[in-house]
Amino acid sequence: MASYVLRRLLVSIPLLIGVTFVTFLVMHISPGDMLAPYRNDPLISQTTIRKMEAQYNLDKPLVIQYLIWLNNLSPFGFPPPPVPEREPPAQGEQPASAPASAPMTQENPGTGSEQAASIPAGVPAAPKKSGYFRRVGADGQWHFNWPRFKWPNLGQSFTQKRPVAQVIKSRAFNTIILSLVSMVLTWLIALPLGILAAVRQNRLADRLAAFFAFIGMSMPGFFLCLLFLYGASYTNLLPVGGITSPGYESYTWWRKTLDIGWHMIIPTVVIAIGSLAGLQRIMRGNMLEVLRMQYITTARAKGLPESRVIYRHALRNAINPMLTIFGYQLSGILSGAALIEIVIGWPGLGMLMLEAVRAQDIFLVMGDLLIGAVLLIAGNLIADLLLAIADPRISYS
Amino acid sequence: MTATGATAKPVSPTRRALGRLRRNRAAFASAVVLVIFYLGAALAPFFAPYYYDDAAELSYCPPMRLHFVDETRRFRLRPFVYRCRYYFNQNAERVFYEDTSTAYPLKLMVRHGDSRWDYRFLGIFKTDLHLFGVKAPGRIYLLGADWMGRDLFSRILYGSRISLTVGLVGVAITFVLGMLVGGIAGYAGGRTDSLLMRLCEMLMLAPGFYLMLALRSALPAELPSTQVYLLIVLILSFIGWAGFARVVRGMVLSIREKEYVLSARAAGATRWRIITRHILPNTLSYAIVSVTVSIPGYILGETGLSFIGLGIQEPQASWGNLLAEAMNVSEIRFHPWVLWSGVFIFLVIMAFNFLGDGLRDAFDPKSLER
Amino acid sequence: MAEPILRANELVISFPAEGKRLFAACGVSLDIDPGETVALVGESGSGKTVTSLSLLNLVPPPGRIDSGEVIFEGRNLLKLNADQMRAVRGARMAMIFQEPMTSLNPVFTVGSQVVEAILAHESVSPRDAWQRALDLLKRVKIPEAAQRLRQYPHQLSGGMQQRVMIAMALACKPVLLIADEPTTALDVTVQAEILELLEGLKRDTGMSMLIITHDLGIVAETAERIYVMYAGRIVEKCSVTEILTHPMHPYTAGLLQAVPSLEGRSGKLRPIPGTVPNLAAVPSGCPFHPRCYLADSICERVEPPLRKAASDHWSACHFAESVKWPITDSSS
Repeated sequence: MASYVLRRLLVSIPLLIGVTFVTFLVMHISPGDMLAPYRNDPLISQTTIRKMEAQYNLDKPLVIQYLIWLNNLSPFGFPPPPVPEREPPAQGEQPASAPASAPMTQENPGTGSEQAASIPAGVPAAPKKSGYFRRVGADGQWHFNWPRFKWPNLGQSFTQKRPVAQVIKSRAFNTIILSLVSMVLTWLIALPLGILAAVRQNRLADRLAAFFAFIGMSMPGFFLCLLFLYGASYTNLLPVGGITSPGYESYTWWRKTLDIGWHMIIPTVVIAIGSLAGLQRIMRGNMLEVLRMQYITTARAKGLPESRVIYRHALRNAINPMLTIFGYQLSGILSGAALIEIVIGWPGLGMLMLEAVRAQDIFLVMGDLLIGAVLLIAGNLIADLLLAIADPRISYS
Repeated sequence: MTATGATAKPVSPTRRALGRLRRNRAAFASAVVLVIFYLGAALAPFFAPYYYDDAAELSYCPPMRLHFVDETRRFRLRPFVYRCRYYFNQNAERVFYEDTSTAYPLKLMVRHGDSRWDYRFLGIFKTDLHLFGVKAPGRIYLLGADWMGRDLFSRILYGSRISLTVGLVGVAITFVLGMLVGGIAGYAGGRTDSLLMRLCEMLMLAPGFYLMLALRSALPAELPSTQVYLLIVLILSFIGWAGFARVVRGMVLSIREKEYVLSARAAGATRWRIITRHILPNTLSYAIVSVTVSIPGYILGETGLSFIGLGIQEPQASWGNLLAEAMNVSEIRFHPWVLWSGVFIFLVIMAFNFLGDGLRDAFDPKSLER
Repeated sequence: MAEPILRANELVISFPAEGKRLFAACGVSLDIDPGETVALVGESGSGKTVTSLSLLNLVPPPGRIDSGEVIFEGRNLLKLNADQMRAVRGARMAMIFQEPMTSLNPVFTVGSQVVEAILAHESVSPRDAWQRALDLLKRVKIPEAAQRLRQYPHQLSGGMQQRVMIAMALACKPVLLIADEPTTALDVTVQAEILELLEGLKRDTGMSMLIITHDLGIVAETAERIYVMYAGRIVEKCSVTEILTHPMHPYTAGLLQAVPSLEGRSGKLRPIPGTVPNLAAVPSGCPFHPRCYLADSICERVEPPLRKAASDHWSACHFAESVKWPITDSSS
């Protein structure tokens, strides 16, 4: 079992690389980049812009940029050079420990080599900058930058001036709780309804369930959201969007939880309505298929009570295919919740993606997409594992 | 005596399926509804009294009522509308009232008179005939007006052209790509299969909405509408075809082992012929159902994108960007009719779902009757 | 003659299809005496499985039993409520099915399914139930019974699965066992073992058996009396020795004729011309008449009733007495 999990994870890696590379390409095809507002600003000098470009590696070929990102992300690789706290000293100033006339022709895949090359003799050289392969040690000399184990680094968000990981962490939490609560709600309602519809096939309960399932499946999520918000603003019963009420900061942790829960009602209900309809139909279909099986007739012929036939023999078999769906649904909800988040104003990964994409903040977009893909993979993996546990016919040795 | 058995005429599976479909009232009604919608889309300029960009000083005018009885309590055979005027109240809000001084009767088959709005009927005949309208300066706003005073009913009709066809075109692309890739992968097996399936999995791994946003952002925000339309279609199909291909491949794998394929091979048929003549037609019933059921996804994708402003831009209309006006939730109680486009989206999607479900039941030989 | 333990009278079973009702059984009547094995024979589509299911009131919806009664142990089973019926199923009357692989629930162990059958009807402790299950498995001659108890159905061979089914069926010592094509899905060698097993169990317990099959060879081996079904109707009823030497229905004669013989005479195989009628288009009059070599104009108009054609021998044919076995070659 463990080896299976490991194999799956290993296989996922090239998939993730593929997805992120494609997105990377796509982001770069678009005209303009995240420095656009700065470029258009006449007050900012070209040199500053070029420094910023260099700082974010925008001056390098595409593939190199991607590899740098990948390297930073990987837990084993060349540690990235530290982001300078301040702008490096402008031309003309003397940094304290600058050795004179260091050979300027050496490969310095960091920054500023062109600048240094054009300095006429006599002017003190720019200080050495650490790169990926060589690092300036405390003694001011070059050292080889050995690859080693390090924390994955998703880069720096330009628009928020914070590490991407930090930005994502807070947003991811919001999205995850929203998705999890929606999932639980969906499954709690859909499974019993599906069983009911199958057992009372074509009778009133089934028809009603089918009817509501259709409405739920057909209702565009964002539209339903709007209707709810409309109702909320009209009746003042529920909050009109957002995640917290004003004054949240001063609440006790208990009240904070309740407040978030109160705000979660509309988005969870909307998401649940959308997903439970399909799930209920699938559950019903599975149950119907299982109830047609020979072993159900055997169970009845043994003289078992009908409730046992349904809830033990049939259900156990009908649930198995649902477990695969569980994983896909989790992924689907994570993806689908994005639009609802945007409509509601829930500060999660979906909204983050929209903002990042609008600002063309490449590292944020990549990071967000990566996390989204990782959550999807995790969902699928969990689904497969659950299925293996539940169905004795499947073995993953 | 004769040696033959029962003499009932054999019915082909397709005929039987169509018969079952016809008997399914919900599916049949949905098909009718869809035909009406698509007809409306095709002939939008004819059905719509106004062009989608025809603005007037009637911002957020409420839906106009058709009257049959005028001020003098006289019944008029031809329904008419009054002119809508407004004034500003003390909160500086517009309040609309009907100006009963002049009645504008509803006329059928009117000519617009304003050559700016000439269009090509079915793309061929140049005309400015409209199904109904009223004489200027009267205006007939059946579903009210948007913030620019444009008729919502007309904009919904024009918007249906985009929102309804994106689904069809996108699904067509997905269908072709999916069948091709799925068929080849399933039939060839081995490394081709693995490679293609890894590719599909990779695409399926990407969280759809996020990828859509990322792809859309790769394109400049200001593009001529036709290009935006094409690009949205391409993006949606790009995300969608992988899942379909995987399922087709699964089906091909199982069909490949069936006896009739084996006998075709034994008879010397080429691989291409086997794939196209034997295997793919048998996946057709599933493919049709799958395609019908996935069209709503495309419609939702396009309307979703337009809704958040990354799809069809103003002044073009799409059901999504019509709804975008409703985003201002606190204001919506003053002009709730902008939600109409959402109702239409819902109706169309529901119709597709009923139809798809009906098709699925019709093709499934195991579906039990009452 | 003792009272039959089971008597089915005029069962009519139908199900809807394509807007019409199709009749899988039209006025079927059966008797089973204590301790005897009765065979119900017919081709696929003759209605034999549906008839057997109706005896336990297990006809799956949308099929339903339109009329008729099943008298068992003094009561009409079709009129019992759910609880009463449950008490009969598995405990007094048990059934085993054709495909053992799909007849066992794949997600539960073999042992738990047998134990379940016991606990459903008898209040014994789980430990006793497991012990009994072990004994039952041994009794049906499953090797390494103790280990098998904890295995899943897919880990057993077809023959062993069928033995488990038999064990489950006999767990509560029923007086009647219905076996629906118990060996059809098994290899020929395993077939013989299973039949032998059933024979032995029958001898030990004195239970009656209704065996449903299309294989006349099995009938000859195991049964004492036989009912032949065609298109949902009983067309012949007599003892097995009678039927093998002196069939009195053209269909039965045709069936016997179609069995290839191992002795001497080579020649063409002689199937019955034509095919089993589609239930939606059952021929008028006698349903067999389009394929019958004895058919005459009356056969197309009047459906022959099941009448006594000889001592203890009933046949539903206008010309029962003219049926010759072997059929001479002068027929078309």
